[in-house]
Amino acid sequence: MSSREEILRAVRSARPGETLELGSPEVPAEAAGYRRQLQADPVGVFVRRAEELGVRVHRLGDPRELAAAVAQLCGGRRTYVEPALRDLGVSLRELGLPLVEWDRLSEAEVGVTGADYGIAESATLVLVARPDRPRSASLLPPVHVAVLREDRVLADLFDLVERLDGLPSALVLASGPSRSADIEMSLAVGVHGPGTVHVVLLPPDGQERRAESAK
Amino acid sequence: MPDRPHRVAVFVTCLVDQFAPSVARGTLQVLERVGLRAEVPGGQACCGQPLLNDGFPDQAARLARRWVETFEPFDAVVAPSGSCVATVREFYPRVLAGSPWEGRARAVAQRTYELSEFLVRVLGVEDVGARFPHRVALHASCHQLRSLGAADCARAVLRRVADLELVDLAHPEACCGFGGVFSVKFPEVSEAMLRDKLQDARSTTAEVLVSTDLGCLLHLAGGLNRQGVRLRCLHLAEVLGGS
Amino acid sequence: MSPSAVGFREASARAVLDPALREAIRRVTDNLAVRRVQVTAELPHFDVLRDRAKRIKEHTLANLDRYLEQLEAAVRARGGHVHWARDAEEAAACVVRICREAGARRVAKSKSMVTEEVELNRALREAGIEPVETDLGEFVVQISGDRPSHLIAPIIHKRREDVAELFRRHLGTPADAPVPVLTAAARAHLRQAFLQADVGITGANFLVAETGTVVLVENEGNARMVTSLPRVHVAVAGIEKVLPRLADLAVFLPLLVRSATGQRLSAYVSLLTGPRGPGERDGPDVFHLVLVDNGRSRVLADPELREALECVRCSACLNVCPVYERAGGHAYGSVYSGPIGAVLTPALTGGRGLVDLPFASSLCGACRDVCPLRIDIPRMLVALRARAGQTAEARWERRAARVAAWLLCRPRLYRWASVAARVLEPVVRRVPVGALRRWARGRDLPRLSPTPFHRAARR
Repeated sequence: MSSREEILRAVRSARPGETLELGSPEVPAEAAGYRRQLQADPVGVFVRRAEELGVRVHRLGDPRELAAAVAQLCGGRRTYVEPALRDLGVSLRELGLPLVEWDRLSEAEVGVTGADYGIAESATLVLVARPDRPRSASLLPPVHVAVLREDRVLADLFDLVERLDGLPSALVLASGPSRSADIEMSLAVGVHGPGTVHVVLLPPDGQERRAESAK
Repeated sequence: MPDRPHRVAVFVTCLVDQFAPSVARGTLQVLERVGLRAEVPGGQACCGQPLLNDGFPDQAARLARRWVETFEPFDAVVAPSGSCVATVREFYPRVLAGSPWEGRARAVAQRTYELSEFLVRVLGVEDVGARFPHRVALHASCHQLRSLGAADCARAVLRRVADLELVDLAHPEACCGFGGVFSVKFPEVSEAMLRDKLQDARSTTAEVLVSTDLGCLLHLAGGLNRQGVRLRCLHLAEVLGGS
Repeated sequence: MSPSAVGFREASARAVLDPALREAIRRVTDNLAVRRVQVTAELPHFDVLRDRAKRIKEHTLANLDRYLEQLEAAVRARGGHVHWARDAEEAAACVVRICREAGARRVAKSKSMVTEEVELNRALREAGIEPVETDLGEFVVQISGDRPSHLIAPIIHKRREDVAELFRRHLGTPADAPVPVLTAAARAHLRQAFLQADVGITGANFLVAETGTVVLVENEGNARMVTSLPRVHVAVAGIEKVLPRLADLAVFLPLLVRSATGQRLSAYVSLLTGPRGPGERDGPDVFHLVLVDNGRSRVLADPELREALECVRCSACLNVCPVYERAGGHAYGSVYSGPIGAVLTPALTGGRGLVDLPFASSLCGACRDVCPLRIDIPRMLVALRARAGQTAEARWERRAARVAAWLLCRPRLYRWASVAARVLEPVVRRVPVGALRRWARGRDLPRLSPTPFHRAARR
């Protein structure tokens, strides 16, 4: 008998004939009031909680300001821009920003990516791995700049799992910079992943709004 | 609130019987003062907790059966011990599972209470007409606090004792380190926990450390001398019962 | 799990004499315990989530074979490989084989308790493959030849000075360097390990049966690294890590993270499903999942102990345990320490540590209070004590217990024994033996009341 068969047989005989119901995966009613607060102003909650984590958030009133805003954050450093933001990459190069190609990613000081969703409750960026959104872009460079549309900010994880239709090879929930408190509970930031995270919030498609930059 | 029980039995507990009869007397006095004539059924000895905790549930079951038989004729059972009551409630159904005793144990367990729990939650009484002009800190045992959820009952009755000033320990929820057999199987850790508890008590203005459980008290009192801590240790029933 | 030569009594007795260790542990556990309280209070429905999680776990464990099969099918549908390991040796050998077949010389690991449980690193080294631990705490453990002492904060017992000295020797950092310098040195050193590793090995916090997904919860980013850069990813996980549905993560992630570190979510949560997709530039080409039994099916078959399989390894119980705080994690002599460790170690191994671990607790119940799954650890400790009571070592205690029960059930004999005890008391007090002696080393022995209550009552 293979190990597989043996294990399954052991597991099967361990609980003969017991069936408990799984229960619904829906949001518990008791969470309603709490979630209403998140849903009332997901962007506001996201911004506040992101800043608590040390993430710098920049709200743009006009999507046309994007290239200039990102260029400023990159500050003349070597930058990798993911293929999904190709147009942005072109604009940044026109602004004189030194861009690196994929094969020189390890030399990049800044990685610029989009984010598929945001989650307000935990100030999380949801990053889906795709051919035009490689995983390492938001991981290797010490600075991560994420571009996120405001109307993609969800309230919490319940909202997220509802929206996921099939899973990519990698879906990363990134909440704040990389951190460790292993040495004497002393917080170290930027241990393996980026130590600095900027989120640039774009207004919902087609809208303009007065820009509010975080400090 | 259920009806006032007619026939009330007191389970004295083995530690009280052997080391501190005044706790039993105090319990009876308190019950009498609130208008109950409590009985102390003969043939009682021990609830079996030490045997259970030492790893001998079959032996504990023998005591459990005897205990159930002794106390089930009564409308309510009151014990000056959070841990003994917790044993009856949590463990008797388990050690007697699968036998007719299980149902009988559950039935009497439902009417078994620690003293302050009985006063507050069954009789609705917090003031038992006691007087104790001292500053007191309460160490509610882990069973009292977590298994019975009745630390607030002990606090409530103490607050109503005349001239008693109740002060708070910095860490009231911290275990004192007794834990029954734990105190003699791992004495070093047990003593370390004891030191911290006494240190906590010493850092308050309390003159007297009061507990609902005699096991904790004997362990705490045992450390006072060795650590030069000038505190008295008393059981809740002694504070409430003395007039 | 490698055997520990020293029992809990000896180890804890030493630990208690070490105020620096106590301080180091308390600094971490107090911090984590406080944060747990704050962040769980934020959710008015936290207890509802606990109830839900318990139900999901109970259901899953009751139908584990079905979910394991579903998981396997889902992983394979996404091009991953699934291996089944009955015990530690098989698990380690399986991973070694995968690494060999991949032609791996260097592997990078992120933190995984189960790989320590099966002693994977030793097996890899014996096969000539160099494993590099990339979790900062585990890296320190590795280069110091030490063992982890906490479920999620492995070097809780080390001071900054110790780490600074270690890094000075191994990484060439300046003497007594501050934490940011140490961290930067580790980052640079381990970055090379990530880039050069052929295989990345991780554990799994959860396995989602519905989708074949491995969930990794971390703060540093090393799990993301070892699952993005090397061409092979091997995830090793106990069979009890399975959750039925993706949606269940909305319940389990907040429970785990808020209970563990007091964060709303850890810095990174990776949901990994199969190897990289077509056209993707990074991520592994090959994905292997190694499912480990190693005693779990035996525990599953044990009605008294199976609740322990609901553990999500948050370590909330460690952070409130007064015994763990004073004895430290090493005293448990096992990969799993603290209250849940005292149950898991004898349970998974079929008896290792049975004679002392279940007794190394005052049964205060603080662990049960904070456990997100409401696991009744004290109940299981008492159940394990009953099993210890059946062993050969316990035969004298067993006899004494039988005599005590017999006596306590007979009122007349009990009364006579009370008289006898008072006669013997002066002698016993002068020369206490056994348990009395252990009591008396640090506490005064209580005095028997001259007249027991039952005597006074009879008058």
